[in-house]
Amino acid sequence: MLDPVLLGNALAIVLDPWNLLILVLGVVFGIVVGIIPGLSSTMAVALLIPFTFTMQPEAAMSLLVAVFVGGISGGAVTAILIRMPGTPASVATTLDGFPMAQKGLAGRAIGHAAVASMFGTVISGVFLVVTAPLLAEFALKFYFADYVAVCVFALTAVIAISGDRLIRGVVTATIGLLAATFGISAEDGLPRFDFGVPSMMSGVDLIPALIGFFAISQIMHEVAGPDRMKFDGDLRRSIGRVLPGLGEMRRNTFNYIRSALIGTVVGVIPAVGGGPAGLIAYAQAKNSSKTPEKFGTGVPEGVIASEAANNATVGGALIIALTLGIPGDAVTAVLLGGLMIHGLQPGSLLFVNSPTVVYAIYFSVFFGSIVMAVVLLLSVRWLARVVEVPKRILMPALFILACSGVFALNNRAFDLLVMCAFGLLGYVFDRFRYPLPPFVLGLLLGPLIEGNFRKMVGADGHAWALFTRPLAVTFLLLAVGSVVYSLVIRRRQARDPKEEATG
Amino acid sequence: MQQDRIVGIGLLAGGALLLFETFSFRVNDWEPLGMAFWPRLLLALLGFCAVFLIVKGRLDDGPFLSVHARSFLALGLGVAYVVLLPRIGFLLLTPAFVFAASLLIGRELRWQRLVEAAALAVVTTLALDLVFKQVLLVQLPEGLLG
Repeated sequence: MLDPVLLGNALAIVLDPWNLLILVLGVVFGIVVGIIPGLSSTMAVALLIPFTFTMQPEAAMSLLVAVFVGGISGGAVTAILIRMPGTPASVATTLDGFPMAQKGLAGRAIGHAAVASMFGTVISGVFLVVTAPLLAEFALKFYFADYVAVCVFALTAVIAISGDRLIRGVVTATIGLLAATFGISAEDGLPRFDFGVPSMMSGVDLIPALIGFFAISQIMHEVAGPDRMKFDGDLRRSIGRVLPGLGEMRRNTFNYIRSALIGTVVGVIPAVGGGPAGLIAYAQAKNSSKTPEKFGTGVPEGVIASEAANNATVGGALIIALTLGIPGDAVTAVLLGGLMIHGLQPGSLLFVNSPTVVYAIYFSVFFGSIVMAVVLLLSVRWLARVVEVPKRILMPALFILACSGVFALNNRAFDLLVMCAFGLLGYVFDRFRYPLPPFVLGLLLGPLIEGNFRKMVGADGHAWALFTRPLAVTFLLLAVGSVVYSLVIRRRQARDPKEEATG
Repeated sequence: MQQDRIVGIGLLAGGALLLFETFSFRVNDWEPLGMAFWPRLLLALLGFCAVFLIVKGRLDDGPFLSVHARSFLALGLGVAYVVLLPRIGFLLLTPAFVFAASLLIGRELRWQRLVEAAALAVVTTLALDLVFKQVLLVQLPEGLLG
């Protein structure tokens, strides 16, 4: 049940003028990063985590959620204007968004994307508020074995859909799990893999590793490319009228709701994320349309379906991340990292011990989405110009931002070296096409899996609970199923071209 | 030699080093599995993956993405910044780094670019110093000025 007094406290914190300004700035920062192709919302959230260190946990999470919401929505702008999704979540937006821009309706497409993004986030937010406390209450009954099984499922689900080859996902996940064992073991209070270096005793700090992995590796990638993006025409002039018509919005009421529901459900499933959610909702909108042949030629219905669904994954992903402490993808993993630097452990106990933080997250989802829509509708002409900023200006500034933030966490220069080392690792993984998300999940879930497994064996003397408790068995079967399904799909994909060649 | 094989060999070498290190872990008697259990289990899995990568050789359907010298040059510059930061300090070192990095990324040495890089160097340094000192109340390394 929601506690009205604590709810009021959380609302007061989020609506504090200073915190509200931070929320608006977070949304704008998220949108700007989302607009720039190559820079992800994961990177945006990771870069801002150190800045939240001195804030109240409620305000800190409000900022990070605002960046998350803004980042996913910003990707639509370049998807529409230059057919290049700013973030992978907006892939389906290009299908009708760019043809609308070619017809001179770029502004209307962005307007529809902004409104649909807001609806998607708000509807998924309602699901978050209603279902998260119920799931958290249920999760309180979890035994050690259940936690191990749920974490293994989350990890295998991410491995199963990441990268070209299953083995590469297993490698990166295992390296992540292994990196999490460096430093003081939480179970024993003794150091592991410190190699006699005092700085290594604290192990791999999550935030420097995440910033290195997502920001530094991306900076390394970007500096090798051309200094400035090339596109035809003037971005500002090509946008035109932004506000969508009320009649068009009314005609799409069912489209908004259906797409938001699809996005919420897809967001709950680990590893799937905004991109597939947008594509599924787009396909559904096309199938149920009276004029499906118009899809792909520049119709607002396609943009609405994609954007409502990809933003709805925000609420869906937060349901599992907050109640079980298990991130479904890289960006929620980073968000949980932001929660943990404030000494808060995500999971069912968060709802018992720090309900105001949870409520502040709820409010941030709602306010963040409204602010995002207003900012996009009012200022997209100016924000879109960020695409034109040359990398020689953007990249050094981002590097210094990352360094200052990481240093500020512990006032330790060693953390900066950790950040650079993980930047190099992320770059090499990316270039060799080894997927990054399984590594991050491994880093975050490693202590949970090890800790619960060892507690289970310590209490029971064996690990049979993994195979006798219904919940644990269910999740282990799901883990096996996700791997088998992925193998079957990949084998079929590999066989198809051969059949075509022989046929 | 294919990249997957290189990765496989690298994993075996790194894994062997870490496995060797696990034998130096202190042994406790208050818990049945011990703190080396989990890392060794992971190293066994990593070893299996490494052997698989080496035996199967190149698994890829398409070409690996190219690696650029400029990326490593930029990282080298970044590492130099990170190493020198505590000694020289944020206010003195950051403008020099931003100036050099901007010219490296921009690739053109014209007067206009030099002025632009200098302006970026000063603005970035002062803006971040202001945010950290005045808003976040965090002291960045003072180095020679301290």
